[in-house]
Amino acid sequence: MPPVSRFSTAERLRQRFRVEHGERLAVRAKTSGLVTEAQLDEAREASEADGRPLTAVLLDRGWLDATALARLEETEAREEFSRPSTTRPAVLPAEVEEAAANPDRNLDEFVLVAPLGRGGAGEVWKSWDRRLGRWVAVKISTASLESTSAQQRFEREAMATARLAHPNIVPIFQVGTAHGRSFLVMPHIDGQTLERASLPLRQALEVMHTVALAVEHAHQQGIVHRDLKPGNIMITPQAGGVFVLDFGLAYLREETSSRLTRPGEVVGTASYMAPEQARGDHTAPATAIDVYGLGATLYALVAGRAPFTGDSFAAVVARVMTADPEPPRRLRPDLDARVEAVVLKAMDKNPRHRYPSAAAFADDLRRVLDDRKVEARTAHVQRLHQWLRRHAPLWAAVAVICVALAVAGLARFGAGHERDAAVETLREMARLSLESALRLRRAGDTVGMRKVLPQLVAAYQRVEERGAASAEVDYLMGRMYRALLDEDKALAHQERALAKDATFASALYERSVLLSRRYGRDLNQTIADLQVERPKGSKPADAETAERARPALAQLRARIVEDWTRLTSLTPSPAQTYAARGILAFYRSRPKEARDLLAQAVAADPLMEEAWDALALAHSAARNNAEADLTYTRALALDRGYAPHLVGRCDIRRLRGRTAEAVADATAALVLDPASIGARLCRATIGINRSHDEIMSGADALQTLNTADQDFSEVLRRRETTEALYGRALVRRYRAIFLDRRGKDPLPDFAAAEADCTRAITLDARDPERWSARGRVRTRRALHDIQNDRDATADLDAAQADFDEALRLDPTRSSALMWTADVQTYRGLQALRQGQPSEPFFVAAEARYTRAERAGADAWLHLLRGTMLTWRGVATARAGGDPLAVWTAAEDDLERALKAFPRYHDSVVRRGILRLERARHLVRDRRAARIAHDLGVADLEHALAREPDHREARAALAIEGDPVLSH
Amino acid sequence: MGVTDRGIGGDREFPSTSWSVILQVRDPGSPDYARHLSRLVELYWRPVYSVIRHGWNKSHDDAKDLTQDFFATVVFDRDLVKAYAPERGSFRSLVRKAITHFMRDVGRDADRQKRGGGALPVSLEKITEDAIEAVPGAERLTPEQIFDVAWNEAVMSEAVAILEKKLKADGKAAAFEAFRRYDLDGDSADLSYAALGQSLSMTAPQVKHALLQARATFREIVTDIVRGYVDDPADLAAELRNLFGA
Repeated sequence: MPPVSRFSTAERLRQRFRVEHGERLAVRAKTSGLVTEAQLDEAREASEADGRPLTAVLLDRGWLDATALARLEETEAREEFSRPSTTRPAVLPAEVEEAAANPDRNLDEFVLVAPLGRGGAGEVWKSWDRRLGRWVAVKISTASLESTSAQQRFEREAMATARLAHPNIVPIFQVGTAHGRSFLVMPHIDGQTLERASLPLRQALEVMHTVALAVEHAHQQGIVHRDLKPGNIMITPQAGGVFVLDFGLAYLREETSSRLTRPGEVVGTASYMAPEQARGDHTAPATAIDVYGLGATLYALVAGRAPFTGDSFAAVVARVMTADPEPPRRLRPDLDARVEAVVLKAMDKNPRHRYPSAAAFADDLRRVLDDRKVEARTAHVQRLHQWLRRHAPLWAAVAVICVALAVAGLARFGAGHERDAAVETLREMARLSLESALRLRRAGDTVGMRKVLPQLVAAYQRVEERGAASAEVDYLMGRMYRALLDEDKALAHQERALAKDATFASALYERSVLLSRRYGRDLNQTIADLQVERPKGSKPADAETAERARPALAQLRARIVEDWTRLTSLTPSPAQTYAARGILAFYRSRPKEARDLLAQAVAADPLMEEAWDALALAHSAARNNAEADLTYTRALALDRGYAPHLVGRCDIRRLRGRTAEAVADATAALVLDPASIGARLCRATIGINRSHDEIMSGADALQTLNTADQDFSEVLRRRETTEALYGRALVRRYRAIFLDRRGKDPLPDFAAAEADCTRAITLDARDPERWSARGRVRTRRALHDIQNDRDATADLDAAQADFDEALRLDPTRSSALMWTADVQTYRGLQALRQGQPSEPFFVAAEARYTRAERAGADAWLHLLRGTMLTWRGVATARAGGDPLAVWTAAEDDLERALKAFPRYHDSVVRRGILRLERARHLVRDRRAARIAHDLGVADLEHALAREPDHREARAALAIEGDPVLSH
Repeated sequence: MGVTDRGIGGDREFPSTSWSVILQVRDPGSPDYARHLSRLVELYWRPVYSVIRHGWNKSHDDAKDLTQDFFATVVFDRDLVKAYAPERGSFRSLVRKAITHFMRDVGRDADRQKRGGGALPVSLEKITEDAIEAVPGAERLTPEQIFDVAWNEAVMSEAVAILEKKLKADGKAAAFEAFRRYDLDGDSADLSYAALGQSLSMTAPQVKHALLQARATFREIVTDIVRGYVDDPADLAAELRNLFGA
């Protein structure tokens, strides 16, 4: 017998399974409702006649389009991809063996292994499918569907669901009846329902977005869920693993709910029921029920509890029908107002006011996720508008008019009791003005607040001229200035108030608050100064050492303590007592004590901004930045116009890595208070880090850099600090690097950065960081000059001198060591390009890199050393030596850099260049050269795909002929 | 779907070559790396050989040497494995492209130096011309088509071998026999269930059932194999289309 051809056998098998594959997909198309039974039958006839696969016939006749087929194929593949391997040894899991021994646990071919849960519709078992050898979930109806019609309806509903081919809807594998009970077979999903999951906000929104799209798909097929709730949504650890359970089972639930004996479950379900469902009203479109369910589920996810609660089913249902859900932001003040708006719109009592479809709900969630404006009106915008309409003009106008009247009265009545009456009026008006100003600020209207001030100041001056201002008026003025963030003027007024009445408790409190804040500022500055001066290895500076170093600080604290001691004897309000003690405790580095006192202060009087601020800082000092963030958020909910809260939260969020939100806070703070230095510094600092990341990952960093530059410049215009100078120098160096990468002129920025560094050094020559910074500017400019064939020796010498100084100030700085290695590298590069001996420079550079590596330099070193070694190899090759060993080391370094910074493609560019150099060198071994060349080109193209203007990569590709072909 | 058991990490007889696994093996010295790669050579040397032999009209000896060279340089030097990124498509298409590239270089460089053959964990020396069947109609096919035909053949042969082993191990040798007679041998047209049943001591319905079962298992084995060299369901769909598609 001749041997059977392997190829013809394979081809025969392919043919057979090609037909079978077509059949499978065609059946899938039918169950998904894409083709009709009749079409399938007709196609089958044609297929049998000519041997073509069924799908080919369906496509041919135009009954199925290619896109739909592709989707079917993908669904099929997804199932195939995740099913257990057939080639595994067919051993039953132990728990299956055990359960199978119990006759009650066998249901047709399924072994009921473990109960997964019990719901309104029945009980669910994790089960083993003996036939297919896989885990499934079997849901057994608790109702016995005796009548044929009930049975038929059950099957019809289940079959309708089986039609839903959607990756986020749990499909139904099979419907069956055994022992008089119906059951459904579904895939077993190893996840948890949202009832048990606690998701971060963003993930919750993503999940609900996915769910809404799945629900929309079902609605398109005419199937409504009617029971959306956290318990019916399951998530798995795999990305995108979101599944809507129990689609199309509403009927089953209705059938059984009347007989349920577990009221708790019904109560649980009732709180997610749409009001029209609860009323039994069927006039509204059924899809609106699901929109409501989506909203109610999202409510539970973001608020942490069901939208309606109650002791009994009836109580919950009553609330569902009549009460508004508590706005989620009341339960969770830091919640994005847009999320609340979306939830409340979806849950509107009137179905017509909800989103018109699940897709519209999904769209609005997408807008929140993309940080865009939502369709739904945010609740606070609505409330604020109402409030302003009702109050704002009133308060501002009343205050202004009253003050004007009082001043006019003063002018008319020169002396005597009439004057006293006028002064009394002024006092009342000042009080009213302060109150209205604070109210306006708390509502976020700082412009309105500022309008009140000039009137009040004018009135005050007239009264003061006549010597009639009382201590209380001074106090009110001082408080007003504090509200406007002018703490120097505020303190001056409180001093005047106390000069008039030394026992005026409120003024004393104000003064102790203002002095405490000043103490805090001075203390931080002193500690920062001491930090720079302190010898390596000594204890970091704290409040004690700071006070020892600067006696004025200790005196200031003594004054505060004295004020506070006097204050306690004057019976101030409890809130003031807690706040004054708490603020001082905080600055005395006792964050725990401070936290407790300040928490009591804000509980007693939630409108004390100084207590909130200190409380947040105390949380932060106790390393609980999440709580600090929340504290600021709560404070801001009460006082929307107080910029320092926003600045404080910006700082906290920066520390928490929530940079986008931090920037938003800083920007909002600057709208309220354009003079805020803190907001600018915070935003600019974030800008530096962000721009670095943008530059290295190939994004356009110019916008970020320009904003940061403006911010630092604005800060410097107001107050020259070394931090701001240093920061601006950094920004400008980054911008120079960015421009240089993109082939634009970086020289003005290098010069500006150098000037900033020089100025920073004149202000504080003891900080090695400043010297290093200038050296870095000069080194980088040297590289630019070398690459443009200009002599860079002067810059390299100057940079070396800067690094030497930095190392003299702090010999342990591994980074400065690394930067001096760069200087040698560039000297080598310059020599190489000028045709001079370069090897000694590279050797010196390598020695320094290696020392820096031992001293703990970060992974950046690998990029620098890898680049250096590439050039060194080129030098070796030009001198007729064998560069391969050096290049292997270079590639190793670049690979390590790539591993450490996978998003920074400079390592890829450098590797590409290295590979091209290698290809050029390997011309005699053409194949190896070809491979190196192709890989090099691939590297460069990869980088250019991400950053098309990358000068280095473009240049490398442009000069690269084809080294193999050109020989 | 997020069904619990994805079969990952279990003792699968086949396929062990998930590319993500190979990619994770960074150290060429590790035993896993060698094991995965030798498995790769065992499975896919025939397609590589076939395309070189017929697509580029090489003599048997040259094709054998080049196959060896291909694995030694392109695969074992890790350039191919390194270049493989899942988003670029399946490993099959990557191998196909790599061969084209490799052969173009060979053509350009007639006096290339032969690499040391000892690097391969699987020796191709035992291969004789008779042992390797020619791809039918190769002269009319492009190298890519030859590769695909040979690749499909390799997958099918492997699947048949596994099916035989599995069914026999499960005590279903008769089912395999039915499958062999109906689906592997080319003469099933006039073979009735009853006739086959007689020789296997089975009834006609039993034969039918056994055949269905064997076919279903076979299909699953094929997808198991394909699953081994793709990284996600979308690739699997594409590969199945390549294998069975209309």
